[in-house]
Formats: sequence, C-alpha cells, structure tokens
Amino acid sequence: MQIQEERQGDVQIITIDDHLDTSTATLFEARLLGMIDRGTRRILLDCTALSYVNSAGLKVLLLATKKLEPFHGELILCSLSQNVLMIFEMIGFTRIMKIVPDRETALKLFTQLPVS
Amino acid sequence: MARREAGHFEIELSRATKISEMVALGLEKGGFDTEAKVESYLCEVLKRNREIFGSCLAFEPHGFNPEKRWYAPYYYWKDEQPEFVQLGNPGYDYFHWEWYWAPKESGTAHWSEPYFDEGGGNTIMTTYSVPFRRDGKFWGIATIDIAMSQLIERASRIQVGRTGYAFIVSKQGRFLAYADKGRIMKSSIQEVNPELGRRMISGEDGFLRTQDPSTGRDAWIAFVPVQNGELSLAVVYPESELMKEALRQQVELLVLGISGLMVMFAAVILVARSISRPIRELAIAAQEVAAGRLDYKLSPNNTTVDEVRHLTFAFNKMTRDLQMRMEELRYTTTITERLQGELSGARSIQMSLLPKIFPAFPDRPEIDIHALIRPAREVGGDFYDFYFVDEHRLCLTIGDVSGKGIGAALFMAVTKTLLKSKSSAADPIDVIMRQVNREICQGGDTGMFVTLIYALLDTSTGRLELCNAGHLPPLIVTGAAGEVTPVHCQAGIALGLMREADYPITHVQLAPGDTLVFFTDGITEALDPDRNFYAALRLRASIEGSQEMPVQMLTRNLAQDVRNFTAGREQADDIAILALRWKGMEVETQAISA
Repeated sequence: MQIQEERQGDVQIITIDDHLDTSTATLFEARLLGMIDRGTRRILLDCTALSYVNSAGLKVLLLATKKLEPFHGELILCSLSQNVLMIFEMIGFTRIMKIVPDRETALKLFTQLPVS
Repeated sequence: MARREAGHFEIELSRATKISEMVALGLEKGGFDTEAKVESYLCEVLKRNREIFGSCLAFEPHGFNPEKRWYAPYYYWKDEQPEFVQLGNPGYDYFHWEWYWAPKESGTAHWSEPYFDEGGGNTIMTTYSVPFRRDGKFWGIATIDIAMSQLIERASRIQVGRTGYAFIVSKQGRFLAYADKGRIMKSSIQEVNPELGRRMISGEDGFLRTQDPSTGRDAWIAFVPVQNGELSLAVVYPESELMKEALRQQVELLVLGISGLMVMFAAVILVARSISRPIRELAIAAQEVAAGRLDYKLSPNNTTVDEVRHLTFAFNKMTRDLQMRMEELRYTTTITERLQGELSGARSIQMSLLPKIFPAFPDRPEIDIHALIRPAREVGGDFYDFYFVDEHRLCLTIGDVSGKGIGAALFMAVTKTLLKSKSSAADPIDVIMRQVNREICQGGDTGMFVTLIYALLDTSTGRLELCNAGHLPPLIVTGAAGEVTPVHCQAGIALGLMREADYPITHVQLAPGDTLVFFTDGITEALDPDRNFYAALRLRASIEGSQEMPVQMLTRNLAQDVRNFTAGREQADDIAILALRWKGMEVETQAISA
C-alpha cells in the first residue's frame, strides 16, 4: 500500500491504494492519527485505487472519525470501488462515515461545512 | 709525550743551573780574600751537590791576585773524591774559550755545546757558565759541569710504541742520545735529515711526517726544545706502527660502536617491550571479551606510554559499555519473553473460552455441530459459541473483532460473555443485540467493533432466527445435490459502531438435512501467493455436495482447502468455521423411540 498526501486549502487529501488490511493498517493508523494529532481537521481519503479493506482497516477509519469528533473535524471518503463499498455497506460503515462519489463532491462538501 | 719528557729534562738541568748561580752569588757577597778560602768554598759546593760533575771559578786576568794572570780553581769528582786542579796556566789561556768569553760578553748565563770529556768523567758533559761581579765590575765566571749521561740514559729508555724511540740533539745538531750509539757526538741531525735538523736546531717545536733518521722509513716525529733551545728532544713514531695503532683504535672504535649499538638495541627492545606488553595484554583481553568474558578488566598502570594507557582506558570503557548493553538486551529479552509468554497465555485463555468438545451434544441426535478456529500468528479476535437457551432452542454465534492483539482478544471475550449473559429464552434476539451493542458502545473510542451473527435455531421445528451485525451471511448446503445458497439476511451495523442501531431478524426455515455453514472473512479473504482472494466462489465450491459428509469433515476439509490455497503463505487473519446440520425431528423421534 502507498500513502500519498497533498494539501488543498485546509483539506488534507490522502490517497491510498491496494489493500488496507491487517498488514498495512498499523502504518496507515500511525500516519492518519499522527496527522490529526498535529492539528489537521479536514481529511479527504481518496480510495480510487483501494481494492480491498478489512475490519483492521475499517477500525483505523473509525478511530480517526472518533478522534475528529470533539474538534468538529471531518473525514470524508471518496471514489470507493464497488468491492470496497460492498464491504463498507455490509459492516455498516456507510451509515457512520461520510462517503461521496468523487473528489469534487468531497471538496465542495468541505466548503459547505462550518469552519471548525 | 715529547713535551712531558722535555719537562723532566728541564727540571734536572735547571737544578744544576741554580747551583752555579748560587756559587756566583756566594762569591760576590762573601769576603773571599784568600785563595785557600775560595778553594775550600768550591770544594764544599761540590761535596754538597753530588749530581754535578765539577765546578770552576775562573777569574779575570790578575782579578783575584794582581800577581797572577790566571786564577781558575776547579774541583771535580774523581774516584768518588773531590779532586783539585788549577786550570789557568799559559797552556790553557781560558780567557779565549767560549765557556768564558761568551757569558762575559753577554753578561748572562751560558750553556756550552755538549762535549765528550776524556780523562775526567769519560762522559758527555755540558758546562753552565754564570758571570759574577765585584763592585759592579765583571770579575769572573762560575761554571758547573753536568754529566749528561743520566739525561741520555733517560732518553734512550723512552719507548715509543714497539719500535719507536726518542733522541736528543744539541744546539748544533749533534746527537747526544740516539738509537745508534756509535753516532753520539760524532754525527749531527743535519747530516741525516736536513729538514728535521733545521727545525730542531732553530728551537721550534712541531710535528713532522718525515723519514726516520735511523732507519729511513716513514715516521711521524714530534720534537720540542729543552732548556731554552739548548737541546732538542725528538720522539720518533714509525708510521707502520702508527697505522697499526690507528687500526687498533679503529677496531676499538668499531668494537665500542658495536657494543654501543647493542646497548642501544637492548634499550630499544626494552622500550618496545614496555609498549608491546600492554598491547599484547590488550590483544589477549580482546580475545577474552570476544569469548564473552565482558568483565575482563585491564590495569591502566601497566604502561607508561600515554597512547597505550588511553587505549587501555578506551578498551575498558568499551567492555563496560558492552556489558551494559548486554544487560539491557538481556533485560529486554526477558521482558519480551515474558510478554510473549503472557500473549500465549492470553491466547490459550481465549481458546479455552470457546467450546471445543465434540460431539458437543451427544444426546441431541437431531443436530450435528462442529466448529474449528485457526488463529493467525497474533492473538486474534475471531470467535464462535453455541449453547441451548432452553430445551429446544440452540443459540449460535460467530464473530470477528476488528484488529488484533490483546485488545481484540479482550474485546472478543467481553462480547461473547455479554451475548451469553443476555441470551434468554424470553427476549427476542434483536432486543438482545441492541442491548449488547449499547453495552459495547459504552466502551469508549477504541475504534474497536465486532461483526457477528447471532442465531437461534429451534431444533424441534428447524426454524432459524438470526441477526446480522455487519458479518458475512452464512451459507446453507441443501437438497439432494448439496446445493450451496447464501442466507439472504438483512444486514445490521457492526456492534460497537453506533449506539442506537437496529438489528432486524431474518427468519429461515431449514429442511431436514440442511447444513448451515458460518465463517469469518479469514476464509474468503485468504490470499494465495499471487495475492488472489480465496473468495466466496471457492468457498461455495468447496462445500458443495457435502450434504452427506460429517460436519467435522466438512469444516476440516474447508480449512485444509484454504491452507492449500495459501500455499505456505503466512495466515494473515484468524479463520473460524461453524457447521450445523439439522436432521429434523423424525430423526429425533426415531432416536427416542429406539
């Protein structure tokens, strides 16, 4: 798995690919939570190239969401593949996470959110 | 050496001169008015000075006695007795002799040229003449005759090296002492070696490489004047011998040099050893340390060489640090081992929570149940459970806690315990699920959640109720062909994600012989070396047609198929399988009636 970061305004965009599973979750957790610890509040996770996620990966996303809650921060996921979206739906993550079709929608959504 | 010898001669001759000067002075002061008085005084002088051969007082013409033209009394030793002779007579008109007129003219003392005295001493003599005065007017000459035999004897005794010698020549160059005795007084140095002769007679002192006057060989000759140049002493040093001497000195020098070198060499070795010894000790110490003896210490006082001492200090520090690191490592290893021990303890506790004894319900012929779990390397979060909540109703659970490790294991234990404690025949399963979810959500922001299926089977009717909390739906192997169909159930959200969540109940009617297969994603998401998923399709193919197969064989075959698929790749996730076959009430009735 590769983790790429870019900044657009006050939104930190993270792109991940391949598998977000038990073997890669630890590294991803450190990066994502470290970012929040350093004060990042708006995070967009671009999942275009992500082909698989398991419960260990979802746990990281859940943890990040819960960590952002007190700061009224936001983690938005975009461009989920069919396979990944199915996993999200099955476990119920589509109900607790903000998931949008593409980047533009995500960035637009961020602008509509009240400034944290 | 020539100078030293000359010095001896000077002393001997100067003693003689003192005598004549004393005689002259005595004559000037004392009132010697008669010939008898003068003669007895002269005799007395001779007797008192055994080393002089003779002494004479020669007066001017008519000087002492106006009636006598010649008056020159002379005493000399003859047969150990003083003998008197009157020198002055018409045949010996002494006024014209050099010993008289020379000092008279110059007014100073005079040495005569050595001469061979025949009749008197029969030896080579020299005469020292001193003028004396009366009333400030020249009165006469006092003389002392000195035998030179002693000087000559002494000179001839001088040994220079092996074949070297010394010789003495007079002011005129005549040999007084010489190697060839026959030439004494008869020949002169000028005849033999003109250059050497000239320089010796002129009263010089010097050192000359020239021919040996007696042998004609090359020699080094040192010469020095004696008694104000009255005599000249020469020391002859044959060159061959000098060279030999030089060679000997060279050899001595060589020997000295070699021994010096050896001493230095020894010193160098000593110093080198004093340096190398501590270094050797260091080398030994390094081997000891390499062999594991980290407490090996070197004494820094073993050397005086600063660099080596620094090295020793550095070495000791290194071993000390090494020892410390080793202890830290040992400590860390101990901790790690303990942690690993605790982890494996946790795993065995976790495993002990799961029902493992099969057949689980030997008195229930209407059901066959088997479950297995293949934990991944770490302590994982998969689990299953089954138990009867009343006489007919069997509760089944399979679940997967997110993440790994002790946290996941604890979470799993909590979930399983909660479910079992809430389970009752009275409450509907969706109510139980909601309660358990709420309890789990209170756990805080650990990010942990659990997907599970909670099912209740009425073993008397084959009616199955189940709630799905985000888990993979079970499969049913059914019919004569052993077709595999998934249970289409309404999916609820995983437990722990959302406090207020509903878990709708799905109802399924089993036919006798149907087999329910519950599993976790460790199966479908197992990867082969090419990173392909095992996937639902393979799973279905694997269990298809297994309607007659004993359930324990079904589960084991499935687990083995997954293992074959991964082909040695390390198992990433736990694998749990639970298979339940409902045989129907007829079987039960038959069993009871039987």
